[in-house]
Amino acid sequence: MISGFAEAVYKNYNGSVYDLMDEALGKALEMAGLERKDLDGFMTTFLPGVFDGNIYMHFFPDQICGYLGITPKYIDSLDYGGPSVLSALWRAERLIKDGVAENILLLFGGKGSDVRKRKQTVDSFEKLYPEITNTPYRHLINLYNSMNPVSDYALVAERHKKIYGSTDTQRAELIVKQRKNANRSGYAMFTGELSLEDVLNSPVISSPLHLLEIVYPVDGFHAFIVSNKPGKLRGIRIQNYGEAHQSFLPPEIDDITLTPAAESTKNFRREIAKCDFYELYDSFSITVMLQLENTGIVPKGQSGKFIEKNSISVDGDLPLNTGGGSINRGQPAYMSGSVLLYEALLQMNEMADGNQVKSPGKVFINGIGGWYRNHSVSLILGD
Amino acid sequence: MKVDDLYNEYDKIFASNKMPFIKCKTCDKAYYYPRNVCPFCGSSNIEIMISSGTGEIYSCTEFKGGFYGIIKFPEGFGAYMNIDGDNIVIGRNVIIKFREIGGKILPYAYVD
Repeated sequence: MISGFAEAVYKNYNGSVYDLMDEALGKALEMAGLERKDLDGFMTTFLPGVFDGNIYMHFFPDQICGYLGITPKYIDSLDYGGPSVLSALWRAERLIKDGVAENILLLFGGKGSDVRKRKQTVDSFEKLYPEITNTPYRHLINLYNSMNPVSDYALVAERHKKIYGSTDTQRAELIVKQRKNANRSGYAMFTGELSLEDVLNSPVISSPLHLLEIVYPVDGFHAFIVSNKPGKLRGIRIQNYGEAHQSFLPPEIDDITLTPAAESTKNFRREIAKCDFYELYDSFSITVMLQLENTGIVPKGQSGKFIEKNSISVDGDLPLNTGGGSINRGQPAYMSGSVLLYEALLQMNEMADGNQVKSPGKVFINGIGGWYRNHSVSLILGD
Repeated sequence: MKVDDLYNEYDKIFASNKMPFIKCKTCDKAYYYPRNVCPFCGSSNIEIMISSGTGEIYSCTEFKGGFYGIIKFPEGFGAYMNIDGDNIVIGRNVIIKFREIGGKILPYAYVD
């Protein structure tokens, strides 16, 4: 059960990444009514460049625990990007059930703006540091024109258009509707009116993807405290869980529009249909569409039409990315998983003020990592 | 065969303007990115082959650096590469050409 959760997110944080960790942790501890000495488990992740510019940090969980003043008896680091925090939640619940620890801190994030300002992403950091390698296939991939991860998402969006007839306008509809959710959420970073024309007239970064369909990397940490008691919060747990991983490159995959989300949800599709709201990984517009189809919420190839026809607001047909998603919150350190989990917890605990899902019994959360095709973590939270 | 041997062999084949790939003699599948054990069946009974050097655009994207995409080959393998020529769209046939990119001779796809 989660006893405390908090975020500390800034467009550009002028200071050390350790301040951001401290801020998120302090707020989560306050919500949980716990102190640092009560934390006996620690889980995190590391991506190059997002910890004060360090391209590598030796024994980094020790560095963080030492700085924060935490002495855990259990430490773990998960290393598959966006959905790692969701896997950490599942593992933490099991560790607590087994009595390994009582209060496990999940601390995920970093300072993405340093990398962003150098006009790279963590997936293209090898262009700045040849010592970093993203692939065992070296020059057979790295010397080409890629602009990762954007160009790879563009390839799947283009393929989806060709095979299923989805359109630029349909993807833009999703962006406009998520913005409406953001305008109601009260805590989004990017708000204000946004029209289809605004999205379609924004620069094409890698065809067919426009600038406003791409998440913006920001600075921030989320802290989640998983405990054996829920404290002041609702005692919610993971009801269904699946993770799936595959490492073939897109050229070696028969159908790139079929992501590991199909595999990670295959055992509980019926339960997904019964959820009250949905938080789907939104690194790009196309990412959400692929998950809608691959998890069985919408038939294959139909996500574009579905988005056009349905409302995704908290009182709509399918409440989806209810806080506006990471597209509007910003993506802390190139990972959106914590943004999804944070919004889900706000809603489940009826803390979303004027943007509250009515009777939030169950939520389906899906995280995607390793661009669109390597990792998927799917879970339902409920009582 | 060691993985470095596979790369060296690829480089030699690129230098003669031909497109290599690997065929697994156990499961009959083909792949391009060098691995000394077949990623589909785990067999090390593999052989470097020469492709016809023609393919089809599976997907493509245009950005500041030009066109880039996934090319699928009739022998059953696929590869990322830069794409040149006119009317670059999914489904178009391409021929594989070679040029120096970043100090290495590498294949690229050309729409005739």
